[in-house]
Amino acid sequence: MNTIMSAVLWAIYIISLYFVIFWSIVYLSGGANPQKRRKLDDYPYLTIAIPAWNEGKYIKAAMESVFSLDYPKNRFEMIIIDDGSTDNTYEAAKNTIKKHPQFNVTLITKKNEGKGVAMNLALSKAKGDYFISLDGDSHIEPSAIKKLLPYFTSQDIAAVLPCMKVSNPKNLLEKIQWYEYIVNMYYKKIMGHLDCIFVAPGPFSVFRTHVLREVGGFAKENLTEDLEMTLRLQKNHYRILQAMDVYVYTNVPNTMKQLYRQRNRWFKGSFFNALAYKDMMFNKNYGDFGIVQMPVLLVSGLMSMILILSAIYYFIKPKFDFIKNLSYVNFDFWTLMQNFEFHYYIIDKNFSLVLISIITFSLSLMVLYLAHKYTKEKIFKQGVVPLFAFLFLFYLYMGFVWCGIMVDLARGKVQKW
Amino acid sequence: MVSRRNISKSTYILAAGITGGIFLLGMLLGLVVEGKRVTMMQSMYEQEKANFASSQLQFEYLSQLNTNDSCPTIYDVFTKNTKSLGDAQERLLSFQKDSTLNDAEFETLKQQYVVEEMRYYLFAKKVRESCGTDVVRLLYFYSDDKDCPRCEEQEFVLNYLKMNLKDNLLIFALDEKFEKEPMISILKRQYNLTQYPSIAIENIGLQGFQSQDELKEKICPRFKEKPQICDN
Repeated sequence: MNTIMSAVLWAIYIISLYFVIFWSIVYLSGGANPQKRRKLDDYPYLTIAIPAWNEGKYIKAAMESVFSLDYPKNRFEMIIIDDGSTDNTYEAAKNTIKKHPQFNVTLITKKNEGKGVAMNLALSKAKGDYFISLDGDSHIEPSAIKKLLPYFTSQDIAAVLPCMKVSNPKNLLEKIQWYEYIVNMYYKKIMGHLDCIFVAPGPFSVFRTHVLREVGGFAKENLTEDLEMTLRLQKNHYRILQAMDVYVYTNVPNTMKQLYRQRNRWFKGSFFNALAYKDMMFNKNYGDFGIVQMPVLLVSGLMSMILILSAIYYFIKPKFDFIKNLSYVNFDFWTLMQNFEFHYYIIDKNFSLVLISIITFSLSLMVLYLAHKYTKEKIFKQGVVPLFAFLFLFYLYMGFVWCGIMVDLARGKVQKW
Repeated sequence: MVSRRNISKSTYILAAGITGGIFLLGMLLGLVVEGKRVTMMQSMYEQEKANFASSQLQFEYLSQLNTNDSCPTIYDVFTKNTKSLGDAQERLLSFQKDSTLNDAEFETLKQQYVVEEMRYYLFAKKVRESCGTDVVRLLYFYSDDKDCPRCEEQEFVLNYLKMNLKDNLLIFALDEKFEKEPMISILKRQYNLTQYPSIAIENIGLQGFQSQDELKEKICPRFKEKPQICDN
């Protein structure tokens, strides 16, 4: 059993190392270079859709950020879908509209049916050539649209994504996620270089309206309709680009429970959607996306789970065993402390594992540095503690989320958005 | 839509090559370190042998002089050497678990260490008889996790007793499955040991996990001057 576990862990180490090296090579071969952009000669008509459920606290800011866009106000419409909110979302939106009568805003309230249905309702009414989804708890910078539209240099580009950052992180958890978002943006930039982007994030993405209609609109009752849409675009061989000079700020979970629920939904969604599109896996018709990204989408969760279970077995279980053993000596911790001897011999270490760990960690630090460079942020902006927590604890917690998902699946527990 | 999707073959191959290279480098490093470990353990064994020979020599010389004045010093050195032998043996077992190519060398080293341990065990009795030292010898037979799930707990208890009794208790650990050294089989037969963990305290064999109190019951009466832990 130990031999099998050891072999599986080694396979995971090698695979992780491989992908860190792979994406580093992509970066070195120009993966982070700026995308070509065209000059924005005209102002295409846009539809900005804001699906909202219980965003009474944030919807005003989201709407105000749209009203503040550096874009002709007669060249865009806003469609707000109140998806059966139980708070004051509708009232807050209505009051905000009243203060800006010069804008073309449609406010629709409906029963709660999920984000996909809300988005499709907005899509059905959209008059714009470009369909922009904006979450009710996110806000965009005024120059966002003018910077993103020039990326649509060819008809095969279906979506352009901005750089997502955490809005005003306050507590430790939010600051940790701040780092996560920065690193994710960097990876998406490089993935875009190989047409491997697998999610156009819900908080803010710009799509060609006709492409969304052509592929059938957003999936209903899907845990991650944004990821599903991206897989569908990939399946139809459309390209998705990541811009690094446009920022959207989004609120993130600020408690462990909220974070767990969010990631539980995200990971379950990615797993089920990857299964639904499994015919793209290792399929060379989908290029690098089929060969590398789809398999990673499916097995990354399994790898995370194995790693966290191993961490529990190798690091946490011995602590429990120690406490159990203490009971055999009447918990005489004092004697053990007095006789504690610390020995450290470098020759006793497993050098193969140490080497792989050092290289993987070094490359990860390089990624962290580059991610901050390309998102124009300072590495220690959120502090040393959040940074270390992100580097050493965050992904362990994600492994724990995956374990929870496996338990849910075993129990047949399915949740809705 | 893109008419033809690219596959970055050269990137895959290059990444695989670099990953493989790092992995091989790691393995090579591991093998080099393994070789160094064998050399180090051999050197440590030679040192332990020399230490034992020195202890024996001191003991024999002072026995000829018919004096017990130097007994405490001899015993002090003897127990230090026993401890360092035990520590070295522990590292050897850990190295052997990780070994890939040098298993035969580690097996031979293990046998050498076991023989040395047995020499210390027998010598401890001589020293006790000549010097009247208050010491109890304990043989601890362990096995692997599969055949001895409680071995780890037993070791914890034994280590704890050792911390309290210090040089008054000498513990010699033996792998009951190590057939290369016949002395282990002889001892197992002598004490009629069939399940593990097992403990032999001088002439008494105990099978299965022994709690702290059970061990104290057997050990404490053997001391002339009862240590503090025996009063609890």
